[in-house]
Amino acid sequence: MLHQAPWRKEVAAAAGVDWISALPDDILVLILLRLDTIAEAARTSVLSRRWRRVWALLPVLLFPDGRHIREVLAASEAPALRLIFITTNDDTAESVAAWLPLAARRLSGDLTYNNRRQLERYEEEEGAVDQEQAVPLPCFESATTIDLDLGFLPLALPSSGEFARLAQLHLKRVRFHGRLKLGNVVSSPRCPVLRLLSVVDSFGLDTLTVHSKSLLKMELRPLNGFREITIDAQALKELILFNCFGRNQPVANIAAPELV
Amino acid sequence: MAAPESGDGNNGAARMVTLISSDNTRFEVEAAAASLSQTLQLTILDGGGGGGDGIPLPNVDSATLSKVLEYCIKHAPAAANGGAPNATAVDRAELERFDNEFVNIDQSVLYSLIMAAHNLEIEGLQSLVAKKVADMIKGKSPMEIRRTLGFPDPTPEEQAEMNAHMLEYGWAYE
Repeated sequence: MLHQAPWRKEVAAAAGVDWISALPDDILVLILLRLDTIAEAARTSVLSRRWRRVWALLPVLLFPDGRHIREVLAASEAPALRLIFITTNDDTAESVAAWLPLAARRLSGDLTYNNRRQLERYEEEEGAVDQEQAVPLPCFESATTIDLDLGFLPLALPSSGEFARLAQLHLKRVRFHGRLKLGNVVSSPRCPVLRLLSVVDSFGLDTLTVHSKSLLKMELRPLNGFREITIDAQALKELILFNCFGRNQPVANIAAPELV
Repeated sequence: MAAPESGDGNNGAARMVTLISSDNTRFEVEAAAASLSQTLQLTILDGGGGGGDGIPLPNVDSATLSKVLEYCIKHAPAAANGGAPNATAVDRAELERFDNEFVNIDQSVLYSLIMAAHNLEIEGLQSLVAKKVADMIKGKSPMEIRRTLGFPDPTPEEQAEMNAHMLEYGWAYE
């Protein structure tokens, strides 16, 4: 049996009075969160002046197809952006470099980025990829978790700035680029509340020197070229080093009284 | 949920509470149903709303409160079963049918219901009404959404503004 589309009845009942537009922003935001994509939420901005900026207040931004990341982040006005979740197959260094600073400025919660880009024979291609522009990692002053699978894009670490609220940093399939050492960034002066750190399947990490009062758990599974690790972490309870040293002569200086 | 001494032990007689709408109508309802409201639950657990007292709800009028309570009474048994893991498929289908019918209403009523659901923090109802409005928006062009939501026809000026805006937001229409 064919039913009349239910909204036709509502049109008849409500012609000329857009009651839904009268709802407060926070409720309209909850409604827009139920739409299938951010693009669909963004399209409501055309409805009227009332709706112009409502979609930009969404506190959760999901990009399951990796599209429109820069446009959405550039427009976002969320007072507290809780979550940015991105999955992509082919994001480039140029694209990431364009949206990452926007995310850094707005995010007060978690960033998860999965670039599924595959390098079939990454070791051979290492030289070629090094020619690629590196993505500068901006300082995330308010983010609490950063979880990046960069798909072997090169990453340049920031030379200044404090990741004041960062509790978890997970880096996967990263090519570290530039002179600045990871240890400089993740040690206590610049990451005062960092509890979990992992670096997995990554290139360009040869030494790591960490001085941290807050770190509880560290996991290192770099790909090759790792030579030396120095850890001074009074709270560290768990340390996982896997396949770190390869053919290199390992050098490890570890001061972690809580380590069991 | 409630402690035995708070009245549930009275030979199975359900504890009742009184709610008072903004226009001073009194509604007597089972505490279990009213407790679907997070806001009311605390007061009720504290023993409020019983006897002649009643809980005033200055932001909810009687027409809306009566509608809200219809929802709460229907959903209370399932909620008492903790989301009703042992509910039959028939029960669930019946609740779904009820929900669909329940929000098939004039938008002015829907508006009041949304405001009340948030005011009283009734989680299931909040989701139901948000989903209802989202479904009115999904898959439609802006003009279709405007018609669905009962906007007046755009003035030529508004129309021009909408067109310019659509150009600016070209990416959202890809």
